[in-house]
Order: sequence, then structure tokens, then C-alpha cells
Amino acid sequence: MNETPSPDVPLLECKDLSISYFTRAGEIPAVIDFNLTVHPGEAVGLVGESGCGKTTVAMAVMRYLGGNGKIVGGSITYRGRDLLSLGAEELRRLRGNEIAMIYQEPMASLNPSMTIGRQLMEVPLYHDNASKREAKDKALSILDAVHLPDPARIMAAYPHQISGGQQQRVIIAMALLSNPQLLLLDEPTTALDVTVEAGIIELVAEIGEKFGTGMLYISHNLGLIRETCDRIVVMYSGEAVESGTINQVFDEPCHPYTHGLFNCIALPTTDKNARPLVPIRGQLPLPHERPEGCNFGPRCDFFEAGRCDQGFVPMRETDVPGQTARCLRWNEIDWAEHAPDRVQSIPTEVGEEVLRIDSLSKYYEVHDRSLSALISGKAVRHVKANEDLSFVAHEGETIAIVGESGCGKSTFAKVLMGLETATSGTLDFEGDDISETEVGDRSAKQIGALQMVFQNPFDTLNPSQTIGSQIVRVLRRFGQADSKGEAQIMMLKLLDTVKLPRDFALRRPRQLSGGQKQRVGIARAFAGEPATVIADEPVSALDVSVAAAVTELLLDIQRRNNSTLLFISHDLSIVRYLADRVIVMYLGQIMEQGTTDEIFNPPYNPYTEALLSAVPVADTNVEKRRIILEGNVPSPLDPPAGCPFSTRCQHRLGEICDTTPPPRQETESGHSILCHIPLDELAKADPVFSFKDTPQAAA
Amino acid sequence: MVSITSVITTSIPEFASAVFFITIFVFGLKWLPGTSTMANGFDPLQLVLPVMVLVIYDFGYVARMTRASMAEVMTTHYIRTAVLKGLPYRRVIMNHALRNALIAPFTVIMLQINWLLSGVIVVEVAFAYKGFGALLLEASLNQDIYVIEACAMVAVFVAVGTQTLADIGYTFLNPRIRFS
Amino acid sequence: MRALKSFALLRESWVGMAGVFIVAFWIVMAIFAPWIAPFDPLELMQPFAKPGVEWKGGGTFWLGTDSLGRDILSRIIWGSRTVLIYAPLATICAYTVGIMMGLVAGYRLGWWDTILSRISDIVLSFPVLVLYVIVIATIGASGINIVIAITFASAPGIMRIVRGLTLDLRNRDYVAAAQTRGESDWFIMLVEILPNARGPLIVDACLRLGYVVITIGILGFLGLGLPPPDPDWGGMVNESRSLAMAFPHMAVFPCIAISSLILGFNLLADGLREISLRD
Repeated sequence: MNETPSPDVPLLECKDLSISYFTRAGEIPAVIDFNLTVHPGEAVGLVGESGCGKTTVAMAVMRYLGGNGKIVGGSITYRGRDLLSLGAEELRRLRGNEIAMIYQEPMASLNPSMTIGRQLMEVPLYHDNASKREAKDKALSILDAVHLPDPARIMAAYPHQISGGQQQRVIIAMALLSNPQLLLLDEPTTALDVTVEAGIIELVAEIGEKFGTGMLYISHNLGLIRETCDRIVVMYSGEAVESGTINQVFDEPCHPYTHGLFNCIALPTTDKNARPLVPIRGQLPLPHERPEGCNFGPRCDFFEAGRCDQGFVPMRETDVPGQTARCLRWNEIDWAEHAPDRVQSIPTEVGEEVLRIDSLSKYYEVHDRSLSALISGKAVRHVKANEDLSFVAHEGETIAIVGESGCGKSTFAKVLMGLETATSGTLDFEGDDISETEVGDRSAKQIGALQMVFQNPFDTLNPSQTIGSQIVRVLRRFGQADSKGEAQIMMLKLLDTVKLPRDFALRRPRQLSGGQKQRVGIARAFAGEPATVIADEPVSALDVSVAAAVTELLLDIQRRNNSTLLFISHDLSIVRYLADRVIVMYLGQIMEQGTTDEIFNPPYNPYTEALLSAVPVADTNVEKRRIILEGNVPSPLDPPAGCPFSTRCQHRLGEICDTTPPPRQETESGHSILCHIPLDELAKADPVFSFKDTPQAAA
Repeated sequence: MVSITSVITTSIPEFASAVFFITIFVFGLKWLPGTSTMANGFDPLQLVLPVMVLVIYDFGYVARMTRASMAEVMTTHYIRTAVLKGLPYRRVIMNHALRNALIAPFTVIMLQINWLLSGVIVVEVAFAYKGFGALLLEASLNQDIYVIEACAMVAVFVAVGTQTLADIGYTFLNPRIRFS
Repeated sequence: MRALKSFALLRESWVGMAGVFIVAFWIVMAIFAPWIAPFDPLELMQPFAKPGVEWKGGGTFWLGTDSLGRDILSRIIWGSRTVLIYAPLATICAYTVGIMMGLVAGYRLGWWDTILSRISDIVLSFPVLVLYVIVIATIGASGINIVIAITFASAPGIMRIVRGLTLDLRNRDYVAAAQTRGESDWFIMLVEILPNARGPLIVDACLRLGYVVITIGILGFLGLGLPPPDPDWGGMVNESRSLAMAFPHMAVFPCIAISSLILGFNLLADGLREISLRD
């Protein structure tokens, strides 16, 4: 139906595009002077932090900006046709047919009350005038093409009956049904686990090769863009600031913001003591508070007053063909000379044992009230959220607990904090077994000594109380301050420690940005001078440049207090950056634990190996071994009888893995792996990461 | 428009709309009888006003609910998916939006049957109709415990019956309930 | 301070402003009734006077008189006092009980939740008015009993709303933070959860005020309201019911009064919802 495109006409071209939203407060420019070209068969990445306008660009291409969004300047052409002048019917025929979109939240993007089959069949029914039979056959074959098992069953299912990864595959199938020329992907894997993400990325790459589809890939993750795209456009605060091929931009970025971004993300070459992250100072400007001149000016180290803050800064060609940058000084800066100041610090001294966890298990009872369960007598089932966890943490040590959703890391945090009690096993904290002491029965000193930093900055603080009063409450509670006045003074000092201005004490959480809220969360956790702090994905919801600053702050305070830090994360790059020791969990069990070096080098537990391979790396010098896992994480209600990973394992031995729980194999240094495969066999594996050049400092 | 009409109709209690209708149609226009005693056998004309009073209050309420629910559904991601799939507008509304938008008001509508039973009391008193409501009121004014008990039983049966129907209907509308 | 800010926001919603205006009008009427009302609401003057008739003792019956010869306008103005005292009082009582039940059920869960939810299910399965009639018939008609009946019948509905909000809010990280520093359950319910549920609750309270006004009116209409001779809008309609076909003015004006007050509360609720959706 769609004729083959000629290669010289670009598939999609945005020229000097400007988009604004019109609100009660007036016109808010969302995208300014934006240029982009996607050629047939090419994948272009669009990267930027939240609010930079990247999603708005995609929605403008789809001509779906809502009631208050308007394209105020420039043009969008699709294969030479002006998209902005299309009538409603022409637009309808284009949408979902020649240009298709893949969304960030697969669950929310599928109609909950319609079977997947019907939702898929609509596409051929309305675009190709297919008969119901043809539509059904087409839907079945496309589900097969996106590697979904048992397409007939999926067709009859409702969206909530399949997993998140499968939902995203259904969305992709829906987009591919009409053989589109252009695919817009808006953060398609952000809501998914890393190993599932790896599968989706593989699928997208395969589509590009097989169908020659042009792609616009929107993401905040530089690593993902590197692995999926040919060219990249970096956006900042509504403007494109740099564009070029992947190698150009990743190896020789021209714009200070792009440079800043790369210094913010944990790469295999960074290290918390020798080569720490360098955050970009300040924070993203709000759309109506953008500065005069260069938007990045106030955060830029190369800002020149009288030049960078005067008038509009245009995008211009650099001396490398195809690479453009929106910077007046791009050719004046000698990047080698201006290597960022990496404040090196002395590693914390690992002291005495603080926390000893021994064979800790936490089971939940689940009551099944269905008739069949009552008849078979299996009305009560156990979810093994944590099974036989053992590890030791020392003073000043940073231990990372890594795993995907449902691995039991959050349950473990709850048991540790006393919100739940353990089913069996012991948890010695500073000499007392607290595995069965609920938080209400712990002493104020114990509570203050074991605190937590929460994941979501947007609900870590009570919205109806001031920042100051929330910190004061904590100080009084832990007996740090005897009088109100004393607590007030300590609170202000804490604000200094987390580098927030003192007048924030009177503000309410909604007046703070995500990063600032997370700083308050850190201040609160460290108010009782804790011996141990659990940080549950403290930066995963923050923008890259802000996350780096919060991470550094956390490490800084940890060094000062010589606290033990238990860092829960799914992101192995950041774990490699800051952890001394790593614990890898899967379905409630510890699959592997050891020092960071031991975890990142063979011998690997097969799950760790797959997890490492799934992490996108934003460094063109790093080569990765690709391992794509099949299937989903099994339900914790019904775990495999043998090894928890046996259903997806790439090195599965056979029967034994399914039926017999694997042994815990330990080396003298304490590196332990849960696997049937002997250690010396596992040690023969190649490292997942290899470097093209020798990196300046190996991790 | 719908919202203004419905906010006004939900603001007029049944007894007030009964008074207004009597003033307009009985006193003013002299079209309809003002009482529904059914003294001379069944007379459909006598039913017009009581039914109007009952309908007009609920109409506004249900219209408001449905409108709010529809407005909410139209902002969801799956409606965006349906539009960007290139479906005609009609199809998006009829097949994707309406069914999801009906889930929330449906339970409310079924609860309204309960409320109707309350309305019946007022309407029966207003139009001097001898029925369930008038019986209950009279019994309670005379402290006739047995009759009150009997009426309460009937009321609960109706309530439980409609709730059961509502639950069954709900599972049809909402597949997420059906298989869990 | 915060109230001022909400009011400033409300000014941008004309629906909300209309509601504020109507409600404020009746509050002014209630407060200044003795000075505004042209006659004593209880004084028996000239029966069956039509609107606009002048009294021989001086003054005009702008809205006519009732069958006992009392001035309807004065009775409506004084009657606003009854409604504006009992409706908010009943709503506050119902909210206090409903919020406590909802917080405990939604936060403690388990047995507390099962018992409280069952109780509210049972109460809610009765048609509301049947419930009122039964309660009032049992304990007798008086101002306080109306408050008790309304509390009894509406608290379960409020409990459901609060429980739903609590179930959502209890999973927030700041609640977890309070738990991990060992705060008591009541501190968490009252300081960490309740203030953050206030938005939807305020909107609901406005709507419910409207319902309570309807209820008080209906009870008066059914003869279960305040005992005569105190002016009460529903009661006025009740007294003139049998004469409505001959003298519609006796019933129509109190009906307009009560409908306008309910409309005021409903518009206010709409306006508040509009501004709460905005940010």
C-alpha cells in the first residue's frame, strides 16, 4: 500500500519548529527553533531531561497537542508533504498507518475493557479495508513477529492479563500492523525492568533492519540512544543544543551541556573516589523563567557575560560535517584543558561490623478464596518475598542491593526498618537482634541509627507541612534536640549540610524541585546521625544532571558520618560507581554477592551476567556481550521448584536446574554464587564489558 | 449547557419540584390533575406529574456523573492510542470511550434506585398517592413498629436486589474484575 | 492566609463565585433576620393574603401570608436561620464520625476495616430517607435528633470516601517515613494523612451540605422536622400542601428559597472542584 520511499527525500523534516502551550498564565514556549531530519531506514535519538520538549516534538509530528498546544512557527513535512496543512481525514489516514507511535506506559496506553485482538484488528480494518478474517490473520502473524508466545491466547486476553513487557510488545505490534514508514518511540522502555528492556531494544533494532522503518527514538537515557540510534539530537529547555552522529556527539561533544551530561552519568570509567561524577550546577529553568540569551548560560562554566546573555543563540554547523551546536563559544573551548575538576576523595575506612543478617526469611500468607482453592485445600499460599538472606555490613561501607521488580529488595528494606517482622532468621544491628522487633518497640536511639531515604521525591515529604517543621519533628523524635530552639538551630545546620538555602525551612514541598525534595529527604534520614542508612533508589526518579548532584551529596554525607549505606537499585552503572560490595537478588534470593570487582568480572552467576549485559552504556569505547533473556520473571506466588532463575537461564543445564535448589558456592574471599554450574566452569566466561581503548582508569 | 441544567435540577429537592409542577401545570395551565389518589380507578394522567418529579432529579445527577466520567476518559492514554491509531472519531467515542466512561456512573445509577425509593416517599406524600412511601410515613408517625419493620424489610430487599444487579452488570462492563 | 489564597483562586471560576454569592446572601439573611424581616414571623395577622397585599396595620405582605395569617417573607428570612444552623452542624458531626471511622478502617485495615466497612454497608443498603424516617420516628422530631439522624445516615458514606483516600495516602513515602521513625498511629492518621486528603473532602463537604439542606427540607415537608411554630422551610411547604392548588404562593416561595441555597452549595462545590483540578 505504501510505495517505496526515495532515499533523498527525508522521511520527516522539522524546520524551525516552534510550539507553545497556552495557559491561564499566558503563552509558554515548549519547543523553540527546532530542526530535525529523519531519513528512511535511519534511527534518530532525541535526548533530554524532563520538560525539555522532546515529547512535545513527537506529539506535534502526530498533530496531537491537546486543546492548548499550538504550533506557532516553522514546518513539519513528511516525505515532502506539509503535515500542518492536512485536513482531519487525511490526518486520520496518516496516523497509525504511515506514522505510528509507541508509548511510555504500555498498560495505560491499551484500552482496559477491550481484548487485545480487537484492538489490534482495528488497524487493518480501518486502514487497509481488510475483512475481519484478514485482519485477524494479520494480527496473529504480527504478534508472532514481535516474539510473543501463543498469539492466539494473547489475542483473546485483556491488557491486564499480560505482563508489562508483553504489553509493550503488543503496542509495538499495533504500530507495525500497517507497515509504517516512520515510528515514533516515546521512552518505550522507561517503565520496564532492565532485562525486559533489553529484549524490547533488540526487537526495535530488528524491526529497523527488517522493514527499513525510520525511527525517532525519544529517551532520557544516553546509553539507550547509543545502542539504538544512528544520529542524536540533544535538547535542553525547549531547544536542540547539539546534533550529530552518535560517534561525533559521544566522542567529541561540542556543547557545554552535552559535556556536562557525560560527566554526570556513571560510566565504567568513573569511580566514586578516583573519578567522581561532576554534576551540572543549578537546576533546569522552568519554561517561563528561561534566561535571556543561551538557556544553559546560568549553569555553564564557560558563560561569558555580555555575550552569552545577549539575544537569541542560533544553531550552527561545527567544523565536523553533520554536527551542529547551539553555542557561541563552541570553537573557543579547549576541552582537554578544561577537564572538569574531579574532587578526589579518600575512600572511607571500613570499620567494625554494624549489621549481620543471617538466614533471614520473610514469607507472606496469601489467602485464595476461590472455590477451586478451597476444594484442593490450597487456600493459604506463601509468597517467599525473602528467602535465606545472609550478609554482613561494616561501618563506612557501601553495599548495593541489585535486582529487578519483585526481587524482594523492598521487602527486605521493610523488615530492616521494622515495618514488617521476619518469618525466620536473625538481624543483628549493633549487637541486638531486631528481626522481630517492630519499629514501635525499638528504642529512639535504634530508630535514629537506622534510617531510610525514599525513592519518589514527589511523595517523600508531607505536602501540607513546611520543610523546617518536618525536619524539626525528626530531630525531636530521635532525641537529638531537647528544646524547640535547639532543634531549630540543628535543622538549619542540616539544611546547610544538604546545600539548601536556609529560607527553605519555611517553604512547603510543592515549592521545591524534585532534586531539592530529595535533599530534604536525605537531611531527614541523617538527622539522627544514623549508623546505617538504606537508600531505596534515591535518584532513579531524578533527571540525570540533578541525580549526579544528589548522589554525590549522599556519598559526601556518608563519608562525613562514616555511616553504612545500603543502596537499593536496579541500575548497575550507578552501582558499579558507588558500591564497595554488591548483592544481586532474584525472586527473593541472593543469587550472587561479592566485591564490586568480583561481581563485574567472571565468574558470573548467569543472572548477573544477563543483568550486566542488559544495562545500556553511554560510552562508545565499551563493547558489550549481548545476552537477551526469554520470558518473564515468574510470579513470586509460584516460583520454580529448583533454581529461581531456571525458567529464563541462558546456561540452563537441564532437569537439575528445575528440580533441585542450587548450592551456594563460595570462594575464600567471600564471593558467593548460587548456581549448579561449578565455579571454575563459570569463570571461563568472557567479561561482559570490554574496552576498545584502554580506559584512563579501570573501575 | 448540560452541566448548568444538571446542576440546577439536582439542586431542586423532589418536594420543591412537585410544588413547582403543581403551580405550573395544575394551577397555571390547568392541564393535569394535582393529586394521584387514583380514587376512580387507574388514571394514567395522574401518573404524569409524580413520574416527572422523580425523573428530573435523577436525570441531572446521572448526566453530571456521565459527563464527568466521559471527560476523564477522554484524557486517558488509551484514547490517545486510539486516536493516533488513525481511527475515525466516531469509532473512538463509541467503541473506546463510552464503555469505559460508563463503568463509574453505572454503579451510581444503580445506587440511585435506592435513592428513588426515598423519592417515592416524598412524591407519594406530595401527590397523595397511596403507596409504599405513604404507608411507611404514616406508620412511623403513628409509631406502628410492625408496619415500619415490614417496610424496612421491603426496602432492604429492593436495595440488595439492585446492588446484586449492579455487581453483575459491573463485571460485564469491567473485564478487570471478571478474571481476578 | 491559605483560605484567602483559595478565595482568590475561586474568583477565577464564575460558577464558584455564583455559589459564594448565593450562600453569602443567605448567611447575611440569617444573621440580620431581626432587622431585615418586615414582620414578626410568628405573629398571626391576615390569613390567605396574596403577594403584594398591604396590611391594615401598616406594611406590605410582599410574598403573601399563610393560612394562619403569618407573613411568608419574614418566615422565609427567619427560616434561613434554622437551616443554616442545623445543616452545617449536622454536616460537621457526620464528618467527625465519618473521618474517624474512615481513617481507622483505611489505615489499620484488618479487623477494624472489616467491622467498620460491614457496619457502613448495612447502613448504606437502606434507602436514605427510609432510614431518616425510621430514626426520627424512633427518637422523635427535634433539632438535635435531626442532627443525630443525619450523622447516622451520612457518616458511612463519608467513611467510604475517607477510607478510599486513606488507602491511597497510606502508601506514600512520607507515611512510610513517619512509620520508620516510630510515630504513633494517631499521629500518622491525623498529621500525615488527614491534611493531605482535605482537597476532595472539602468539595465533598460542600456537596453534602446541599444534601443535608435537602434532607432537612424533606423532613420538614414530611412533618418530621422541627416542631411548629418555629419557621422552617420544609415545614412551611408541608403546612400549605393541601392548599397548594388554590394558594400556590404559600409553597412556591419557600421552595425557591431552599432550592437556591442548595444550588449555592452545589455551585460552590463545582467551583472548588474546578480549581482543585487546575493545579
